[in-house]
Amino acid sequence: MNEFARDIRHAGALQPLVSWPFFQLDHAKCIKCEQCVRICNEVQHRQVYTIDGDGYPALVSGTTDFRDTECNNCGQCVGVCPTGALKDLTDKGRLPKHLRTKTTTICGYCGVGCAIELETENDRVVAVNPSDTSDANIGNLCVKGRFGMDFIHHPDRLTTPLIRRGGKDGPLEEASWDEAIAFAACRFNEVKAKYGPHALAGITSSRATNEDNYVFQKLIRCAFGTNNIDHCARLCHMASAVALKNAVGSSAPSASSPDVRMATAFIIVGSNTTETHPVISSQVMKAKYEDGARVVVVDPRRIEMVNHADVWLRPKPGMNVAVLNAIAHVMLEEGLEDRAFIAARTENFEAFRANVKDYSPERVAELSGVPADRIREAARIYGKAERGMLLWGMGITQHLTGVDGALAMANLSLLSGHVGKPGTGFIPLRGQSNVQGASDMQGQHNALPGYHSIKDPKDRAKFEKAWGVPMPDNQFKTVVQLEEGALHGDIRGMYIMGENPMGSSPDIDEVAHGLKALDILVVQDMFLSETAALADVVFPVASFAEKDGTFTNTERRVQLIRPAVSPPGEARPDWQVVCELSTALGYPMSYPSTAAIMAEIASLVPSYAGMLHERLGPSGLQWPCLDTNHPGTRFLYAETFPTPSGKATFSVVKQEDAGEDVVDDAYPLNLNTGRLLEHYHTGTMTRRSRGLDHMRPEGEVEVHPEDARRYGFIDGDRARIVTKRGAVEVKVKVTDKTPEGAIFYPFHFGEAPANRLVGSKFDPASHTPAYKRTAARLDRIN
Amino acid sequence: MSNLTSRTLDGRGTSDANKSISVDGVEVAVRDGDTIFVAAKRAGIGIPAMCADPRIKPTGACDICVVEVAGRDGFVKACTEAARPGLKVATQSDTLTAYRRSRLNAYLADHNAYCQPPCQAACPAGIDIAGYIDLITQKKYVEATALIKEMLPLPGILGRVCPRPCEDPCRRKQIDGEAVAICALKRFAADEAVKTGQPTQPEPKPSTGKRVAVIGAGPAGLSAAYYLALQGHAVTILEAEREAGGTLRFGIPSYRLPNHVLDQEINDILSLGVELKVNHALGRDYQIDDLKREGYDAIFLSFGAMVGKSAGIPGENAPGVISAVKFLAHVNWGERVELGERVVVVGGGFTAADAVRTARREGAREVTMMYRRTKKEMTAAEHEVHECEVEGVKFDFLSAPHSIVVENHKVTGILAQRMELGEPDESGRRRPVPVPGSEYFTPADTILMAIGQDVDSYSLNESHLNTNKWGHIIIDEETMMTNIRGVFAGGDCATGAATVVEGVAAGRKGAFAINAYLNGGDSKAIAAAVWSEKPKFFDIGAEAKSRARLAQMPVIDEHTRTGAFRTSGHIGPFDNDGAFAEVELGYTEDVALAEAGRCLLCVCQARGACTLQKLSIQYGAGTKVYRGKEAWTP
Ligand SMILES: Cc1cc2nc3c(=O)[nH]c(=O)nc-3n(C[C@H](O)[C@H](O)[C@H](O)COP(=O)(O)OP(=O)(O)OC[C@H]3O[C@@H](n4cnc5c(N)ncnc54)[C@H](O)[C@@H]3O)c2cc1C
Ligand code: SF4
Ligand code: SF4
Ligand code: SF4
Repeated sequence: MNEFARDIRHAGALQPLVSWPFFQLDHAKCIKCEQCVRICNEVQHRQVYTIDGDGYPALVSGTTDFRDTECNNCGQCVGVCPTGALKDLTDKGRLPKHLRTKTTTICGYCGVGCAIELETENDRVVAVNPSDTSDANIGNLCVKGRFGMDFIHHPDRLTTPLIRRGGKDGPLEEASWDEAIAFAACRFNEVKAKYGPHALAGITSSRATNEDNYVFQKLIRCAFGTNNIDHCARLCHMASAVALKNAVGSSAPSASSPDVRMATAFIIVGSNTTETHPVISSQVMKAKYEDGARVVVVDPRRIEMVNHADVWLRPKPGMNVAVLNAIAHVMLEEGLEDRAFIAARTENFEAFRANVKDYSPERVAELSGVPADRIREAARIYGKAERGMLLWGMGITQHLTGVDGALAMANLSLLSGHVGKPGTGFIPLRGQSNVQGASDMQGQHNALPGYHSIKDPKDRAKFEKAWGVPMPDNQFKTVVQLEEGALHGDIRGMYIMGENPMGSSPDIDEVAHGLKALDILVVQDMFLSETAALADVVFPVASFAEKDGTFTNTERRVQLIRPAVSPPGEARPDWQVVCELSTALGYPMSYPSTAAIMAEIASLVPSYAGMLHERLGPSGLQWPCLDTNHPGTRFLYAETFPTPSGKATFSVVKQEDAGEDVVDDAYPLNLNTGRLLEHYHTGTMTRRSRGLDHMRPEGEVEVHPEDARRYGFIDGDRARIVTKRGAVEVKVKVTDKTPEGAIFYPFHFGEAPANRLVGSKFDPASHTPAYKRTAARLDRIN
Repeated sequence: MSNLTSRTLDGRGTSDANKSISVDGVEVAVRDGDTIFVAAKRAGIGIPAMCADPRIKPTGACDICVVEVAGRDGFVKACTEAARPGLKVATQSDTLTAYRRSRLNAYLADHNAYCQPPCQAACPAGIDIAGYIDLITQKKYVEATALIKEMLPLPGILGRVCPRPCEDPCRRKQIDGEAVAICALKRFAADEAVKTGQPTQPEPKPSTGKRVAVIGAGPAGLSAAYYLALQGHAVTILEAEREAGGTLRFGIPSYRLPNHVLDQEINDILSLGVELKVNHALGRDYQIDDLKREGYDAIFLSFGAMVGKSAGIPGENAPGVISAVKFLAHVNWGERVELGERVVVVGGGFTAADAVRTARREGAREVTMMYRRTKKEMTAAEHEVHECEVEGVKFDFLSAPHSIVVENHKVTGILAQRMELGEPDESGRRRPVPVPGSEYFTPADTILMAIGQDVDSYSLNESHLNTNKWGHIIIDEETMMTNIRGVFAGGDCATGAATVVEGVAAGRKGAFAINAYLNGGDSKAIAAAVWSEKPKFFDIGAEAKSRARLAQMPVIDEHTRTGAFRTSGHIGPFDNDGAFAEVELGYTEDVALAEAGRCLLCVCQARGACTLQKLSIQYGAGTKVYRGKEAWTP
């Protein structure tokens, strides 16, 4: 208990409103301005606050605990309070706010790329403020960005390099940088000498900066001499990337946050936007509640966005393509297509039209369980809108038909002409802070930086000249193929930067076998992750708050990150480690700064040509940025598409349901996996944030009340989720968020990993795994 | 990629060069849909407001963003008023200021809170008091001590001898009349931390290769050495006496500050690799130039103010008249001083208080403290005066020495003059003026003069070093530097006799100044390193209503104490150690926790970022009346 609130408490006055362990509201300091109430209502659109009889903010629940309300701890109210009444309980600072050192940088969590201000004292981050400098978030933040930065100083951070001097069975022991680098280099070179360069592979991270990713892929190609490199975008959005590349010529999201704020209609498919991209979601709500935009949600789960939707389509799992084709069907039937746009800017329209003819709402209603009139209504909302916007997430991509789903989305965009104009377009929402940048640096299909083809002789020559070595020409392998390669002995040495395949890849028991079978595994991480624990060499690295460089967010916005504190112990920024290892491997790399790396990227990648660090202002620059005078590009395709003909292509996609795991008597439930608001990826960071882990200390499986009744579970029971691949033990949460017949389990929890349950089946075109649908059953635990 | 086209227009809110309004005489461009507030803000003119957030629709509820618009009666709310081209807006005027102030006062009437703790502001060292008291309530004594040591490396010492300026303004007084025992809690934390044996100081930074000489091992010098060593500099302390500690060792008697506490904290500082050279007196054994020649990169002077002032009265040089500091030094070094039966001590400060109590311990039966003013004006701490009374010291207030009466080359007593209090002097205390014809005689065997100490800069033989008329070394207050480059000074030698906590604070400032200097900083950089914020208060209860009733500390009872005092009949080997045992006993954990629980932790996280605070300071709003309970009990 604090401050003179204690005294007031003694006097028996008001109890503070508490959202432990994030913030609390002390009435003593409250001046009843209602800003907190209003930002919660008007920006977050949640049922949290009301005003009590004395004019003070109170909770709708009538209690003093925010957990009794819909509050999701975004802390927007804390940020807007003009006094100290709403107090950040995670603030560890001692100096008055205005005397602390402040560094504006970019949140290292998700792909929204929010600008944040880190407050530091004595080389420690003590508090986080939102920053209104960037268009990406215009001052908004979610719970992870505002309250989840304490992982930076977690005692588990690695501070010295570790090596297994005693071989595979020996312990990981502390080592000097020189020894660890030499050890790793020597073992990689041994593998290369014995088995050739293609026995080596690298996996990089979408959480590392563009500069880190660039030097990493350069090491793999030039020092290892192989094309065996991939990153975890494979596991989430490669299906979107492949689809968009085919449809519109580039894998990138076409629109930006400002366009989201301007749109007048949305179709949101398979994205739990309020939880996974909270700040984008608040911009959707701004468009809806301030400017009357209409929202269509397509999702089997009763996600929060459903509460804000004008129309909710709840298809059976895996029926996205049918529903989207039906929407196209209705648009054509009712003449809502943009004929001029179709004629001038697209190809293959007739084949597409013929295909969607088969998808009448009535037929699709039977297939998907979505009533026909709802499909019609959705089609009208989007088709008639002045500015339409499509948002999608892993609910589209992590299916065996992931590419088809994304193509069906692209079709809608082309059909309506809602692309290439302000306030229109499509955004596949990226999971991690730098998924877009990691792709830009090495592309899908393992391209050279900037999507240069590894096969095109002209492109190869360009990079051979720049890098001074011949380019490797082996066939690319995906993350999952690389992991399988490890299991079968094709891959003998692996270098993993900032990635935790032991948490994120499908079928993790197999992955573990594969990684253990390697001759040499080098992992570079902030923590001893499940993967790092298997490594022969572990390099400790700096967090995003301890280094500089750039992230490219989900709207192609390249933004500078800046160091606020120094790395713990001997940890170093990724790019420095990569350069040293490369030098030790025999391909010397050295850069005086990350700005120098970016200058090299700019010289090789046309869309980054103007992205010099010194040009990146508060809102960064959005690619393409073609020269050093170019202002960047807010939305794409205003005049042409980057295809040989300059036109976009309609695709013929059919609802197929051949390969996916179909429920049967033994496994009667559809298991869906995904993310929670409070955690991020495999939880290496968020699980080490006191507040975030306090909110969600363990994974819970969501079970529909009907299913709970059927299988005899009540809320809080413990159950074992069993699939054909494995089982994990979890707590049961009974909720109608998930539809009957389906269960949902998040993948952030290493002690009970979701990915032990899901298979290694892939979308054939993109190799994105089918995480969203696996047949499962729930067993009781007594 | 290159055939992607670029677009940056957002299709709405376009600006038109021809549209503008005038704000405080400045032409400000406006866009469609702008309010006056938004247009002014874009042009960099901030209109004060409590509730303007661009993400929330403006309502004008706070009523502070009011402005005057030419041609309109009354005020206009800038956040809701459309910026129609051509408007002439004034954001500042006397009536606006008065109105805004009244609005802010209305807010503050509901706002029963404190921005900043007054105790911390009153502490010369600026310790985070609320911070360490909060840690004590959590029983984190090592952490509490470490926190104190960020500002002051001698917590156990200050916890015993500090005159506690921090307790005067303590807000707890306004609730139940008694300040929080800030100082005693500091001692408690430090003593508990020592018991654990755990470190309370950080590891020094890697060596910088720079060498610094510190002259004088008193509180100022020790503190400078500590913070310099933590920065990685090689520090050598050169001390004239045979042991380190300065006045702490040979001024303050051990019944107030036991040697083991002093030794412990000095050793902690030396353990950082600080070198101590005793019997090294500047001006006797070496000069500043020698030090420079020996390769010291910077020098910190902290040799104190050690010489007793003379009163300039007849008979002052007779045997039996001793300077009180000299007397205390002898006793502190364990030497015997024959005082006789009756002792008069002239003065009312620390030294006088220590001298009377030490004289009692040394066997003087009748000890009188002679002071020109009244008890209220004494600079010795209140509780100390109380202990003097307990130990049987007599007071003779409003009395000033006139001359010493000497017979046969021996003192027989003192002739004094009655005083009365006149107008306050510059220190705010009422100036004593003599009552004509009121001389009277007091018999005495020894007279101890405790009327202040001087800086003995003369004996340094440093003619290049600038000093003022009192012999204090002149320093640039902002950089702590003397007129000689690379030579800094602080503590009593630069200020005249002051207090331990001021000395420690000066030492820390000196260390930061020297560090900046050694890093190549110019005087601006040095000043920036030394700068500390002077808090501005506007909030409730910021001003002390009266002097605090200071918290009581448990002490050894009177009989045990005086029973150990030397008596005149007692001759033989000097052994009255019992009389010099520490009088104050320190808190037990229960008492300490209860006391710590009384602290209101008057510190607001939002201070410095708070809009209400900022505007209230700007507009002179704010009440200083404590309403706490009254405002909160239904
Ligand atoms: C009897 C007495 C009691 C006091 N009680 C209190 C109290 O209870 N609380 C309080 O806050 N303050 C008290 N004070 C005041 C306080 O002690 C001083 O303000 C404080 O010690 C000043 O610190 P300093 O480091 O500047 O100097 P000092 O403590 O005086 O230290 C100066 C050091 O420099 C050395 N030195 C001197 N000349 C040379 C030279 N030429 N070369 C090398 N070294 C030299 C000295 O030997 C000494 O070690 C008291 C003072 C006295 C005299
Ligand atoms: S924003 Fe702060 S001061 Fe305003 S009503 Fe909310 S808690 Fe009170
Ligand atoms: S800083 Fe602001 S909230 Fe805190 S006490 Fe001062 S006026 Fe109140
Ligand atoms: S109550 Fe505590 S924080 Fe406030 S003035 Fe007193 S000691 Fe300082």
